[in-house]
Amino acid sequence: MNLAVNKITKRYGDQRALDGFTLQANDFSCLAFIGPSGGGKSTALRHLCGLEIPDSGEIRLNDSILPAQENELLNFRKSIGIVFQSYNLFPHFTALENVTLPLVQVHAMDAKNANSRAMELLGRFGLSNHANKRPAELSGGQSQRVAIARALAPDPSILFLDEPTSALDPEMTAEVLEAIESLVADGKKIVLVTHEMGFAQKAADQVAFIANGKVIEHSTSTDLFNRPQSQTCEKFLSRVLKY
Amino acid sequence: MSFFFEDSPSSPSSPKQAKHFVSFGCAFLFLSFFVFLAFTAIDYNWNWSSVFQYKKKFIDGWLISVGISFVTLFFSLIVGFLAAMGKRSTLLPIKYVASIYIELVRGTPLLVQIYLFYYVIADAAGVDNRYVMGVVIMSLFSGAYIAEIFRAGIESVGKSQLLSAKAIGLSSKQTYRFVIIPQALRNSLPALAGQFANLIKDSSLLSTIAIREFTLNAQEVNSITYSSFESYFPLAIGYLAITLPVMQLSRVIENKIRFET
Repeated sequence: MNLAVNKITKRYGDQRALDGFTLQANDFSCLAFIGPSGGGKSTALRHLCGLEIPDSGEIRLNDSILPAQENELLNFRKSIGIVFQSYNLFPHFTALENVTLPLVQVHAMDAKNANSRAMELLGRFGLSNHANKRPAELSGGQSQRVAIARALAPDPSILFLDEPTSALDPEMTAEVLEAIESLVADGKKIVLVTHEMGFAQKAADQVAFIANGKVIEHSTSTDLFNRPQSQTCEKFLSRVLKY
Repeated sequence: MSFFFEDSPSSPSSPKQAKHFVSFGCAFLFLSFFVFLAFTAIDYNWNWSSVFQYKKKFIDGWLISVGISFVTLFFSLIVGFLAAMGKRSTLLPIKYVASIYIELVRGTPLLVQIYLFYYVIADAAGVDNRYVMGVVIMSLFSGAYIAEIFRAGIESVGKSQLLSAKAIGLSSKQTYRFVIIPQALRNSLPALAGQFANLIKDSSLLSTIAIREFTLNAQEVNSITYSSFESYFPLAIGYLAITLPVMQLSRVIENKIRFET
């Protein structure tokens, strides 16, 4: 998977959330965004997955430019998967219905195939017994795995995860990270924003350090964690890895 | 003394039912006593037997009121839904038509609307069935309130839900159908039940355009029997018989929704 982001900027009022964000990531299988809070990691991810349109600059994913029109972006979003920090499952649907809804309504799959596809994914993430529960009856870790199953159901070319474990306790974090790791092992292409440095180091093959709305440093995860080039990145790593 | 205080959740369970029953009875008797005093003070001469002869008139009127309220509820849900969607429209003329309708109806007394509609608009449109007009007027009146209930319901659906719908590739029409409306409707149910109770009471004003509903029939019995108050007691009880269960239903739904989310 290749990703080329060329000088995208985004302002919210007076605040520059993205300030000439540039990134060239070739041939990655799992790309992790790390960096301080408020540095632009999540904003950048929302632009990459077509949820927001940059004020300027362009994004290419495998050599095709992301459209700048909402109706074309809708089609782009159908081809990818997105997982949010707070799961965002639909509370009035069961876990199973949450997964089948996009299959049936967006991808025109018939109900029977959608059901078996959804059950296969829920089973893979150890949720077979929870298929008929509503989100309110699920733990955070279970909800997040349902959300991953929902994003994965249409077999997207790439999966974007925005701080998928930030709302979870350590045990549930481990559950969800294991699920993501198994996807990487299966060859699913992934871009994720994370605060789990251990996971970024172990499961991601490329890491970008983002602060002040730009990419400060980008390289393989081994290089970035062992030999950070910039002072900000080195400082950040020494602080977060201290405890 | 603790018998008259509500149980705190931590206190050991006492015979709760009996406790509430006795306190309710005391409160009821206490309030009744004042009503009784008031009537004794004006030395009122009760004449229930003559009013009782007209019980069929009460029943017929009650059925008409309930019937009109149910039909009105149906149409006002449609009107309210359209107005709520209209107010959210990005097409400005539609947005303003909906806003003006909602504000005018909510800002003026129902009695004024009934007279205006019945004597001006219905006349101009050549509609002379007063029951049809009654339902039309009440539906437009109640629809404006229901529009606001729906609007609040729609706004109660969180931004994260909309983001999620966008992320899985739902179109805006699909987002309304599968994400917003089911949740908005659920959140609106308690308020809708309350609005239905209002609708039943408000329908009493239709007596002013000679629709033979509960209130008008009660007033007629009063004048036939030369009594002044006897009809109003059955009238109050007749309305309570339907508004109390509806309001109770509203509370039950509210609790149910709270537990489920």
